[in-house]
Amino acid sequence: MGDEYDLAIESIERIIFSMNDAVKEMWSTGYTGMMVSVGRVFAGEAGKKSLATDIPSILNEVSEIFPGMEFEVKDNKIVVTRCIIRELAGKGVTEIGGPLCMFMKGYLMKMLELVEGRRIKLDISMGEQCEITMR
Amino acid sequence: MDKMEELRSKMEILAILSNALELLSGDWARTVCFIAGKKLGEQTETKSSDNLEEALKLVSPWKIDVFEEKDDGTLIVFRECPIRQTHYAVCTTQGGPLCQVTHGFISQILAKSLGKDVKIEVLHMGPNACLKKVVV
Repeated sequence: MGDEYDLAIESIERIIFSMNDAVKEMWSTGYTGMMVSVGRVFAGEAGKKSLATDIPSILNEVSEIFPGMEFEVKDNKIVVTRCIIRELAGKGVTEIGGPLCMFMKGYLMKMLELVEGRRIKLDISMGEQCEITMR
Repeated sequence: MDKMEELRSKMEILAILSNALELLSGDWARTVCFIAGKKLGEQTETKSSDNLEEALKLVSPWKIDVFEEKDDGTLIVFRECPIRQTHYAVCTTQGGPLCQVTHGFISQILAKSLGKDVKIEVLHMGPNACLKKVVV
């Protein structure tokens, strides 16, 4: 059974690699803004069903939607403690700061706007763990 | 995180890319996905063969059987397909752009091993298998 999962995971990773390349080739560097917008659109849909009223609870909801993502709020910063995109980047499937990161940025931005009730901007520092600051 | 959870989270990522392509480029997403599948097929090593049934066995992890030989092509059944599993795991629509990745990939693999151009047509899509026609 374990082998079957490994085989399935490997094939999905290869498809992600190919699709990620397709997105980059199609829009060149323009994918950055586009993927942020797509993330915002998807979060807008998911946000309609959200019951969260504060930042930790909305981050929990995002973790439930994307099981590979985990967040923690520390000193007014949101720390990404677990990130499936980073794991994929470690395997060379995608890259940090690529289309998937931009999607997640847009998604988080919109979700946080829903609980904050105002337009916000996110500053992301990409270190060993990404840290997100809201403005 | 166990392997099942890991697989599901990666399927979610795949669905994001497919939905993003569909949202941004509409029907073009199908073409882009087909090309992505073809590129994947180009990168995959395969052995040459002169028999379609043998060539289909080389495609892993897809499990594809020959169903019926017809005058205008061969009917094949996709029994196992990671893309179909993705559709059911993350609730995306079967037959959407993501299915074109399979078509591009399989047609490229078959073209490489048979040394001829291959066209795949969908006849029926189901939860456990899909029926398709291959024209070599």
